[in-house]
Amino acid sequence: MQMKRLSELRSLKELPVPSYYQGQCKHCPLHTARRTAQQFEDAATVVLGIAECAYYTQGLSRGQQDASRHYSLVLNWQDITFGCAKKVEDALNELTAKHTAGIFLITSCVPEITGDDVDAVAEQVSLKTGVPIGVVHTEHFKTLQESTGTEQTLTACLSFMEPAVTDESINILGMNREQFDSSELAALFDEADLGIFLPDCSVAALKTAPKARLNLVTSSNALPLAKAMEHVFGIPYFYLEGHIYPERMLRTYQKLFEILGRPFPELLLTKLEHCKLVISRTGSQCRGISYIYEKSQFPSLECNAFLTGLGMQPLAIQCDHLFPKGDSDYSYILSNADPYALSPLGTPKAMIAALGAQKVIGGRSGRRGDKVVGFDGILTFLNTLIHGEHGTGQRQGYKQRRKHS
Amino acid sequence: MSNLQQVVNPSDRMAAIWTYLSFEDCVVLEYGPMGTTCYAQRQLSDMGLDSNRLLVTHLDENDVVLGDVSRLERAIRDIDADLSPRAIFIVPSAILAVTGADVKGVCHYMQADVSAQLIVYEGGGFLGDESVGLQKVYEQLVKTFVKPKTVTVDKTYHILGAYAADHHTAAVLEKVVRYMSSWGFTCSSVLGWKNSIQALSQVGNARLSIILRTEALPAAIWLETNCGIPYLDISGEEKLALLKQHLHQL
Repeated sequence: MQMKRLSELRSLKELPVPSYYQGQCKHCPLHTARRTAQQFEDAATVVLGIAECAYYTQGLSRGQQDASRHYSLVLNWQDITFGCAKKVEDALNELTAKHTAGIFLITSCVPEITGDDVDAVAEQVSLKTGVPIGVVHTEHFKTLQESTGTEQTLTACLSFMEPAVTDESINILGMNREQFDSSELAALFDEADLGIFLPDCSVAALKTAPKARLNLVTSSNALPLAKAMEHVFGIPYFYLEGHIYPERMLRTYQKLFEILGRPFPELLLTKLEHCKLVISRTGSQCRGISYIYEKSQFPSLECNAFLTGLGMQPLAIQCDHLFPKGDSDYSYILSNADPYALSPLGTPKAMIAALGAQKVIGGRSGRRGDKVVGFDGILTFLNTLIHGEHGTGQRQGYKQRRKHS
Repeated sequence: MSNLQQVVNPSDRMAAIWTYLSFEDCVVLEYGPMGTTCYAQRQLSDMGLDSNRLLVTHLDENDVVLGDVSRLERAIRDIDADLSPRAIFIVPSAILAVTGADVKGVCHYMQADVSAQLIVYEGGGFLGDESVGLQKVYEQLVKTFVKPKTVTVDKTYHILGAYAADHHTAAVLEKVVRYMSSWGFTCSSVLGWKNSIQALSQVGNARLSIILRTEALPAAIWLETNCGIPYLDISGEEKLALLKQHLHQL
């Protein structure tokens, strides 16, 4: 299939697939779902699927404290042919006697295909026993995004929540306590303001989450939960979306403090000035450098418009969705360059070599800054841009990376 | 009895993949979502297997719902052209076992287009545990690749039933090979351990088969029936003692 320029792309199906076989694979949503559920210290998790999925997810508990809270329910041919509802019901009944705080039931690809209504079974058992059960659906054939598992697990947390009288607290959704304390947000809120941190909390704490007056969403993975909480409990949410342009980040913060009804902190203005200074320095170091863009914590178009504005040359951009043609960032990129559009399945090594890109922005290294929010996120990104941690056009295999690490 | 498990055994399909990967001139192509492949690749180096030879097609909803097999066809063609392996072991995932995709049929008509031999492992991981998989794969490999006996090469033997996931395998093999060499015997092939299709195909000329695991017994019986190779079963706990006993009897 011929390569398409960004301006020519009409459908994602036009994107050339790097190869019809993959050597370097991404994890499935089941992996991230299991990892996220693991963080709820008093919840039990059950993986419903074939022996292979169960075996590998059991491996995640090896040597971990939560090993005693993780179970597998392995499906066999009989369950596929005649349904697994009874098996799931029996298992949940057994588990609710041992783990009364809450249970995550994580389904994998096969039960999603056979279509057993495990949600109804879980609801029935939950009503009977009074133990909340959150069902997490992780069908890998529907998505290439492993983060879907985290999103689904966070959304399933709604099953653990109960209506409560509103107080003045603010829930932080999408970030754990440690990440919050090391971020710029820690200086903006008093301890008394803070409600729960999701996913870094217990199921018992989750029950009280609806008493908050606002959900502050720091990761897109927590957005569906925030929307559901607004719908069910009437709690408004604010999404602190990351922006690479400091002025846009400033506007986002201004909106947040308007909603909170508080004066705008001086600290953020200082951070803004610092970011501007670093950007002006970065521009001189990055001018003329060609790059292939794979992924970053910022919206793709915005990030590429910013990099183009710094004087960098986009040779190819990975497209995980069709970019809106009328977008100002889209027009800005095209006014300076017309890069190739790449498939989210990855960039072939041969293409990187053929294009002669000096940098590859994103991939694994690009996600390092995922949890760094606000102006700190901009500074982290620029730091990796200058110091070459994004990549140098040469991709390492898994073995090499392991050896290197 | 509770259906909940806190320790899960590998499935037949996993054992098949690990055994196929012991052939250094072949690749394994998983036809299914890449999640299990990703996990497997991270585990292979612990077993001394090459994760670069474990490939996957991935699947999307179209492949599952509409039964589109073009992804598999293209992957087979690409692998054959890019990597030129002696054989491509195609292992469909559990999803395809449920939807009933005719992977064997696809490989049958694709065989004419490619030079690599196409071998399919069916079952999707529902046949049983690793023991079932090993038995099936050992038998399949021997029946597929071993050529008829042309001449008996004296003082040669081959080993059946080495398993990369068994952490004792390397040590056991070393002891067996050392002991056999003290009798003047040379090992021609180890099925399931750093093997090649070329070496396996010549197994029919060996003087003796040595079985390390009971799962290899049907393969050994097949070799005895079709190539006239007697076998020594040392699949018990004390492998070396059994080997000494058998050799003295022989």
